[in-house]
Amino acid sequence: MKAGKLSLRGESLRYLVPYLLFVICWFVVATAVRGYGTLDHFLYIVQFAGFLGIVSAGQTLVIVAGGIDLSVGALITLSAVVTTQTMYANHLAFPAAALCGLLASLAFGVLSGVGVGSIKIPPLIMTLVSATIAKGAALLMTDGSPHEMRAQGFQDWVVKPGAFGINGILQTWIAVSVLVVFLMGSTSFGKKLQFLGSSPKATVYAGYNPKTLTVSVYAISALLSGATGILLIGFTGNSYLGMGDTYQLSTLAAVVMGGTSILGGSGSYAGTIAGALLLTLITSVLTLFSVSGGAQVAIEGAIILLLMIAYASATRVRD
Amino acid sequence: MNASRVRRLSSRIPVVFLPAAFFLAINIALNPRILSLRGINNLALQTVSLGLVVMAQTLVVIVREMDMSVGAVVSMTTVLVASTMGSLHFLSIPLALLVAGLFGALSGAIVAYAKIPGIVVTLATSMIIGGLALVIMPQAGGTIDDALSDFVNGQPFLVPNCFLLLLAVLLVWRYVKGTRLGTAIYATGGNPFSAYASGLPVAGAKIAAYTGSALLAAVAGLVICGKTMTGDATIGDPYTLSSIAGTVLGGASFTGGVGTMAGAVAGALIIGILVHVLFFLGLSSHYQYIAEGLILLAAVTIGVLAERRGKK
Repeated sequence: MKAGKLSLRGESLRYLVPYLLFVICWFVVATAVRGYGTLDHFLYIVQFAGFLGIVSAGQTLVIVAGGIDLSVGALITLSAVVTTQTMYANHLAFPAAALCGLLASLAFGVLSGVGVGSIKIPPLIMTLVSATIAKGAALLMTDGSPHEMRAQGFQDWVVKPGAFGINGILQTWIAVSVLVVFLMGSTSFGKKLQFLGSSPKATVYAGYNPKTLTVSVYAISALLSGATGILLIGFTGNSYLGMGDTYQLSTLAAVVMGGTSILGGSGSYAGTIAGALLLTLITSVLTLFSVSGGAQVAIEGAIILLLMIAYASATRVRD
Repeated sequence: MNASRVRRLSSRIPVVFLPAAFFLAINIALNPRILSLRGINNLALQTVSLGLVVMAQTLVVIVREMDMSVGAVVSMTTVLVASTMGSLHFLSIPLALLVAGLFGALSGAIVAYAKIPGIVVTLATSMIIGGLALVIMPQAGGTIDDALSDFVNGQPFLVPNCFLLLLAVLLVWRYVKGTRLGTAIYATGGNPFSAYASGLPVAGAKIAAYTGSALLAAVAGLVICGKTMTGDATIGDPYTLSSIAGTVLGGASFTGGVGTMAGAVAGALIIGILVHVLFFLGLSSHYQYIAEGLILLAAVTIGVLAERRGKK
């Protein structure tokens, strides 16, 4: 019992580390860079981190359940492209078009879930299959040249400060955060996910159906990716092929930074939130110092690698 | 146990070559010119780079891991060679191989000693390698010596040079397979615990597999350099997916310990020929992603189902 409590404290400490890192980075940046560190700047970072935060919620659920989702980037693009294309070519109103975008994304999530859960294809390969087909579908729909979107009301909601002085991105992120933290921490669904991630066999013996669990977790991830795609077109006003690509690896970075075990079985979305904030802050500083895109990706990769090694050795010491 | 594995291996290879022969027949029927010397050379050029990356992936899959950095290493090689060939000439080739080998060894060492799944380690290293390649060469360009492209495209003894390259790799593998390292590679994938208990170097096998994978990907990068005459920091991206598809088609198992380089070549041949067939059927290149995704899906589904039936 005592050991259990101790390890629990170790666990929650693990999720506190990224917040601590964020605060430290924040103070370093605030003192070193003029214009950084104000409340406005904080709000800007938090709102901008929303995109990454929302997709990473899905990635967290999938990884805790013992999988990995390499289709989030492609599904962001797909839902954005489907939304703008159906508005442009089929003259749908924005809500109907957005629904089409979400459903397209959801379909691929279900495909991944069935492949992983029922056929038992390794998650990495199955989500890569979904990503590739989704990418091809987006390419076919646009024929290579995507379109702009005009939905003034939605675009205003996404960009301009609304209720409590925060914009639509942050409102959505807060809603997603509350839901996901509740789902993982206080429902049986969250428990089952952890079972599934640590031992699929135990899940069966405990009387849960691993197939439905798997399908629902990939479906949720796909829906969150789809929602992010739609928020992104609200933010930028148009869709383009590859718009979700940068998010693919960043979600993994945010999840790993947040202290979730890449092996599945344990993790928390609260940690991922800090990971997304920290990553957004780092990216914004790198952009400010005009570090090129390639170098940013390389730095992000190095951070992921070092954190994984650190966590892995920390876990081994505790064992 | 051992006998059944041998039987399983030998029963797998012909099955792989059957669809390859089938698609080749369709391809020849659609386009008889493919049988000309030039046609063979073209097909060889397209298939050899693919064959090399599939072998790279197969090598890692045999030790029950995966390498998501294959494409990034291909890109990095083309970039390194194209940016240094002007001043270093042929020294840039060993330089590129050395850099690739070091990255491969780094991935392998992290996988072996930190005990983190190879998938995520190589996803991270692929970000580092691909990002650095973009830093070295933000836009495609650079110079490639004519001698390299002459060699890659050449066909002095009737057989295309790059086929000979593939053959050389197969011969090296044949030798390695017979050594203690080869045994360790197969045993580590089959059952790491008993491999370790038998005193085989499990960590060494993983490091060797990742290093070999990176070297093979780098050779593929050299072939691509000779073909395109430029360095391009994104040219390798699609190869990661194709390498996985080819590996599955080639009969390697993701549960480790099973896979052959001959199978890998056959897997690459199927993909190469299939892309050819789609092209001659007049499908727009926009369909290529969907086709490749479906091929991969079909290949893994068949592989997984066959394995399950084999177990029962």
